[in-house]
Amino acid sequence: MEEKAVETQVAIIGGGIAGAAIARELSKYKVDTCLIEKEVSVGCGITKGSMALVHGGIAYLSSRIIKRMDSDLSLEAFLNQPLNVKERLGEAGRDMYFELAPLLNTPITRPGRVMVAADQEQLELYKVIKKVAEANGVKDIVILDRDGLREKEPLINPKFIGGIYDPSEAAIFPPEWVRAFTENARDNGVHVFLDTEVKAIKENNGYYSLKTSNGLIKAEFVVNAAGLFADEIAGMIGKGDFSMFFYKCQMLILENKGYIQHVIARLPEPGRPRMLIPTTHGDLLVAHSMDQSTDKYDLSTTMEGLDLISTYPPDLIPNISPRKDIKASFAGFLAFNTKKLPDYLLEFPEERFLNVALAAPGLGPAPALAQEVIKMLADEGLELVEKNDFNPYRFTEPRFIDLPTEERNKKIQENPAYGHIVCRCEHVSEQEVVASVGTGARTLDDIKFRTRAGMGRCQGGFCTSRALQIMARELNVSPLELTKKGGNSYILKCETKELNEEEEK
Amino acid sequence: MFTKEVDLAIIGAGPAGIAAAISARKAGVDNILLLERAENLGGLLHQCIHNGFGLHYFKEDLTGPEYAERFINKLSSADVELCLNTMVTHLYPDRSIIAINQERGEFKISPRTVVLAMGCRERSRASIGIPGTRPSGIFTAGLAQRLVNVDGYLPGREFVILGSGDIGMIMARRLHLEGAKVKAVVEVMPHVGGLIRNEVQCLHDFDIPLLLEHTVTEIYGNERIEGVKIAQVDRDGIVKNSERSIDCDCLLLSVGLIPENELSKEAGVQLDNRTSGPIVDEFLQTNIDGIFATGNVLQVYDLVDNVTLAGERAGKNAAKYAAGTLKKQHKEIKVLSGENIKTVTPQKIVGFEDVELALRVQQPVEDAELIVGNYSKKYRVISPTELIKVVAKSSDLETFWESGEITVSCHKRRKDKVNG
Repeated sequence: MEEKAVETQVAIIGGGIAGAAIARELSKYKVDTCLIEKEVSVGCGITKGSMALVHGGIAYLSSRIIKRMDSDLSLEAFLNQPLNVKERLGEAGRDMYFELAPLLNTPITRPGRVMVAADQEQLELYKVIKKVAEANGVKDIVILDRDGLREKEPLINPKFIGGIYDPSEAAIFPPEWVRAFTENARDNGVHVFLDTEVKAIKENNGYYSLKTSNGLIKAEFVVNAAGLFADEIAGMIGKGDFSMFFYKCQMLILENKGYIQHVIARLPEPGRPRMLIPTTHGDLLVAHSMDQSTDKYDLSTTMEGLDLISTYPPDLIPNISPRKDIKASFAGFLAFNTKKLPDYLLEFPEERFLNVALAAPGLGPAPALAQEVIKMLADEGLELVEKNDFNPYRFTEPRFIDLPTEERNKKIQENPAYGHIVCRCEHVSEQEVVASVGTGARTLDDIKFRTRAGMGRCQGGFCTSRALQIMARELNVSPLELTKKGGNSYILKCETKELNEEEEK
Repeated sequence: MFTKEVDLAIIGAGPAGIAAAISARKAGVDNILLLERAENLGGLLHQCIHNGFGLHYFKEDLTGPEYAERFINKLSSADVELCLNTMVTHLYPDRSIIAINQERGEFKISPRTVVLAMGCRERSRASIGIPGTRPSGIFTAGLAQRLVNVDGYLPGREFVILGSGDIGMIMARRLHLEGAKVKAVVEVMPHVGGLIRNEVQCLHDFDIPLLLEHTVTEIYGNERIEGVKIAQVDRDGIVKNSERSIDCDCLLLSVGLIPENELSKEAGVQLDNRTSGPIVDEFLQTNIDGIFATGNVLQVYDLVDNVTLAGERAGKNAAKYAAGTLKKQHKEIKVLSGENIKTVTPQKIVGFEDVELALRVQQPVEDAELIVGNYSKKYRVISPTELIKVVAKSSDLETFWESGEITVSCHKRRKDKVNG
């Protein structure tokens, strides 16, 4: 039997930071849009395992240095080359995040970036970076001498003789921003399909037919923002003239016991960024080891990788003991398209089929990228008529524990479930878990990333049993049906006595 | 904000907190408030449905819930105010407490005395940093115990257990009896982490394989755990080419307990790096006047009987403090950990009476001699898995007041060295 297709004007494939930002931007217009994500939650691909930074100007310039090796140009001339698309969008996107933050009710912090100099040569290099940055309109860059560096970061390793400071470097919690873009897009009419994997695409009669694991979607326009899988999606229409290549990056989360205030980085060397990042949650992210990888599903950490990154923090801040301060370790991907390396690939390989194949970093440029993509779609013939009822605001409940006492007590009076704290480490109330389920959380990881229950020092030892009970009650399912992150990631196997009864039979 | 004034506030109603409440009440404290974040009294005892509790305290073999019940019954006739489902969110140096529950909302408690009895938490996968994927199916042993014994669910059917703490070994037996397969208990040390009696009764009696000097080096499986790699370890670390895979759908971790001292730290209570618990005197008082600490928040105990005794001691001394009858000298003797001593409490002596020291050794010693200052005691064997209690008589302490230090150490008895 032929199943009935969902018909739409624009299908965005990929619910990462790019797809979500594009979906929200499109939702300002009278355009029927679908956002299609293969996982059960948005933002859990490359976005989730990223460094969580919205880069400042010197981050882009300093990362150019790695690429200078084969160039005959002088350092200054090399750095002075015009910005590429990624860098241009990065510059524009940063301020947009700060405009969006109050609208989407999603935090962004501005720790600033301190890059340290191990010797005079590096310090001179920073001076060139500052000169070029200023010529490009980047403001407030400061060259730090030894004392200046110590003033910024009192615990810094005394071996560093100075550095450069860029106040504009910002930090976000990426999955939350993806969720914010997505929820706001959905509130403005975008259809969000989760757990929906695109299997095949056919073009006929001015439509693209997307065969998905969740039925057929027919779209006039397709935006391929499938991240790591963008090459495969393009391949589905026979336009796989690029591939995505990627590095597996292992990272640590440490407790930040007042060690640092700013993002601290060494001058990047190939494969060794060596950075410490204060996260929006008050932790410390250690980034990262880099190994070129070919398995898009392999996010395993390795003994060698963890050992390597464990050497970064004491190198920068001798007081840090990764072994003692560790809260979590994980891996993410740093990906690039092969066609426009190291830039973004933004092009229509076919009419009305737009490849948005990114290159790290993808986070900072995303809001500006979204506007760029909308322009490209308009040029391709998508009619854009602004909605007059677009709602730019995304409502979220503030974290209960962050409210003033009077408000907390008012809330408990209105709903006693606020008075039941189910996560001992992050002080998350039962009602916040209930509310997360209400806004679409279906897995234990969803609850964790929305409420922080399970993210604290005991890593779910206390709250897991409680969260499962609340979720099962709210969703009216057995706890046996609940998963950590969808698919086969079930948490409980069976009821007690079942195995013995099985055996008796 | 609603403020409640009490003579004694106890944070945590596990066995330590309950014992403190009962003994403080008995010693004449009128106005006691017992704060507990969970929905039940007795802490984790209600999920410890195995036996072996009370052998010392009652000279009876009880299950965890039975042991708890005896104290809960005593407590119910002791006129102590209870706040269950109540999360203490702050403890300040002036001893004031902020707590949240459903009935009162957020409220403040101004106690004259505080007993810290928050217990401990389990070390997680993150804190030991096992490489590999991040699938579902990895639990601490205590969480698995709750899921099985309280919630009624099995978290898997083929298990590997990393670490041989008591909860891990007890869960190995429990899961075996549930019809699950425990493929291995993997322990990095050359001896189990928990009690010898648990090694015998939980592992050997059920032919559950115990792999000493082994560890888990990798976890695999993307959605649900599919297996682990294990390897042999020696003094230099992982032994080359000793890695092998074990398929399993669940990994339990029983790799140590950490006293829960976040509130203590906020109040400015000084902690001991060795125990990870507060530095206390023999009255179990911390550096903050009127704040006492007892049970697993002080140091990780192996027997609940000892937790109860420590709770009673804290309750009794808190009562004395409240009554102004706690007799202290204006000087102290620091108790130092010498050769082969991992932890010792109290860390300082300030009173006139005999002092009971509780200590743990680093390495097992046969034909051991335990030395406290000038006093020594012989043991056939001393093991790191068991907490040793030894009394330092006030008369023996006399000579140490001047130097202000006494050292505890443990080594093999000298007669064995005669040959050399």
